[in-house]
Amino acid sequence: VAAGAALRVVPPELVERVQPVSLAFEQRLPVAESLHTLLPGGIQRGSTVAVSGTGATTVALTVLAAPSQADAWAAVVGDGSIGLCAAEEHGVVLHRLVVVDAGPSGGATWATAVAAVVDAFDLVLVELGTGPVSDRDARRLVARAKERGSVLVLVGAGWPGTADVELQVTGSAWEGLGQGDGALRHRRLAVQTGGRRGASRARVGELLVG
Amino acid sequence: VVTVWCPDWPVVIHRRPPEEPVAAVVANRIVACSPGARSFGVQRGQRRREAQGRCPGLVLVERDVAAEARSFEAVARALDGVCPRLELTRPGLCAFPARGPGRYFGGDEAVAAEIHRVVGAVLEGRGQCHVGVAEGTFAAGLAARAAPRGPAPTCVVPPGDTPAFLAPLAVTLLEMAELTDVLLRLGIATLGDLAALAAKDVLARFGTVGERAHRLARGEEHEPPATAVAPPELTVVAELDPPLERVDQAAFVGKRLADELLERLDHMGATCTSILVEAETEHGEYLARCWRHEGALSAGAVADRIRWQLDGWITPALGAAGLTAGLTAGPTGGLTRLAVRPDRIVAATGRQLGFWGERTEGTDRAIRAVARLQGLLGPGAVRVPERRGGRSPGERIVLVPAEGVELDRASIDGAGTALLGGPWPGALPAPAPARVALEPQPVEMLDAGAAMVTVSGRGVVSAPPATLVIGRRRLSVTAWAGPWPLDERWWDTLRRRRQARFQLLTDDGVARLCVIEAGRWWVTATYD
Repeated sequence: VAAGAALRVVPPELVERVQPVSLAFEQRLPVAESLHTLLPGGIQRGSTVAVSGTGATTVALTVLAAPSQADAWAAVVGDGSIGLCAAEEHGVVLHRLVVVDAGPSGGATWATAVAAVVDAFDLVLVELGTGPVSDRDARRLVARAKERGSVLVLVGAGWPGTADVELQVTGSAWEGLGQGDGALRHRRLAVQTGGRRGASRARVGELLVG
Repeated sequence: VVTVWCPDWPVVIHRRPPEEPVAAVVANRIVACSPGARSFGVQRGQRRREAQGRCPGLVLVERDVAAEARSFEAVARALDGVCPRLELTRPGLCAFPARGPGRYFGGDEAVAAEIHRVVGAVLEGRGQCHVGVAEGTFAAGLAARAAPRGPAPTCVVPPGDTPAFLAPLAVTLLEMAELTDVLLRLGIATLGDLAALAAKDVLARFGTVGERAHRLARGEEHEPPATAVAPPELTVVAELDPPLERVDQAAFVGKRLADELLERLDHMGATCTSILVEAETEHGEYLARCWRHEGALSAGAVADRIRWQLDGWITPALGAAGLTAGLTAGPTGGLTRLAVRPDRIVAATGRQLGFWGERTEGTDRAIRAVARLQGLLGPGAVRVPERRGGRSPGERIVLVPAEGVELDRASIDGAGTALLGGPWPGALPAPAPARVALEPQPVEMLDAGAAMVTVSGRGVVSAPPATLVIGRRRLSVTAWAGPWPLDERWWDTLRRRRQARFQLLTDDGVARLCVIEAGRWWVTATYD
């Protein structure tokens, strides 16, 4: 009994020592307000987010926006067709954005280049769809991201396996465009979440952009 | 000084006959073209589509600076036989002092003939080299440009005649845009006008930049002649054990050496305008190359030059052009020693560092990663956004190679773009498309009667668009808006653009930005 009582009184210097080096909230990246219902609490550092469906690029840029405003560096691995004006409108800070052309996805130098990008950038948007990625490369990249605390945002098809968070755009509706009048103004995207970590509680949410 | 200039070098390396129309492009702009292409009216600075419009058979190649440097190494090695002390300004242009070779071969004309002989053997008729001889690198470069066309273009400016040679030339050739702009407005149009001014007045009015321009206009060297030899302790050396076999490994070492060299120079309050890169292999083969750079060299620029030099030496067989095929093969062993020596040291006068606080750790990491990726994928593979003016989404913000930009900048405005922010009447309102096609995709737009939709000169649509045909896919249009006419740069016959834009929503739920130009429909962007 005496030993148990002694254990309950933990000396303060020990409390300090066993405290985690980084707190849980420091390991999450913030998300834009429009994503709060879909991804409450932000995105875990080191996780993989796969976005698919019509409007995937828009959702991916929205994911990039909030961390980018919080001083994170972002990289886009792709051919450079990403809409930079759109990125800026969604709130991505462009002077902390780098676009890396690593050739077709799954190519010989592609995996090495993406690994180098993951090493240094907090957010890495990878455009897939120009070639299949091998299982081995995918596993290596996911492990690297986990180790470095970077978030991999995958856009398009061709990634083997399941991502930690999957955002599937199931519907897209534009407002403002008429028959020969108006202009594209707002857009409602119906998004369903899933994936390894979110699978137990899949959410369906709506994202209003523009 | 003798200058050897190979015109259209980015095109020449592709080993095509000169009469064939070939052009090298960077970011959809023509940067160099072959004489064949020029005869069709293709020029530097044109957009890719304009050039293709003028010459439909034009062969377009992406510019590859590394391949250019690699191929030029063959020319440099051939020139080593004429003069050992070669100074490379950039791929396609190099210079060396005229006095020694002039005495050896018996006159400047004899040197030029010898250069034409050895370089001609390397180029094998695929290109030409121009030789200019004058006092000072700047004047010699202009002399090479001014050389009359012919089988062996040469222009020798006799000693003492350099100021007279320069006098009638335009000040814009100085390539100091800000200064020459002012000079032109002051009525100083030629280098002779500038040289006629008193040096102290030019210095008082335009500072060190003006002084340098004045010096060049007078036909003197770029910088005052060095009075002191670079102290040996400034040389940075890396002994490599085990020997390096691959260029990218060596480039890493080179980057580190360059950083170290610049740090040492910084402590002295100095900078260098040319560097000597020495490489040695385990079998004692040795290659030294002097690189010159207008203005001060940054660490990235030094590392680039080291990579170019080693690329040309270690992997001659891999050169895209294969220009090196006829020459002696590369070294037989791995690299054991790499040294970088500053060659011409000048006081650091005018480089003001940014004023926006400390670099963060993330920025440092990003900068290092960018350098690594450039080594891995080649220069130009890493690009960063820069704001340019414009009315279409692909024009407003463009991607520029990261090596030309300081990455710890606080905004994406390029130099001198303060005016480009706007307003741009006629630009489309937000939201901007999330995907901008690199090359517009040709499509067909049909109305309800399956006839092509057209837009009249007054901006009236012939009929509402009903079907969008992309390749084999037929999509029916559910909503649309337009036309928004765009008539840009009507004063410029080459870059003029007249089109009408439409936003289009089709039954697959995708919104697209389409344009009609000269009766043809294109999809230029997708609102993904």
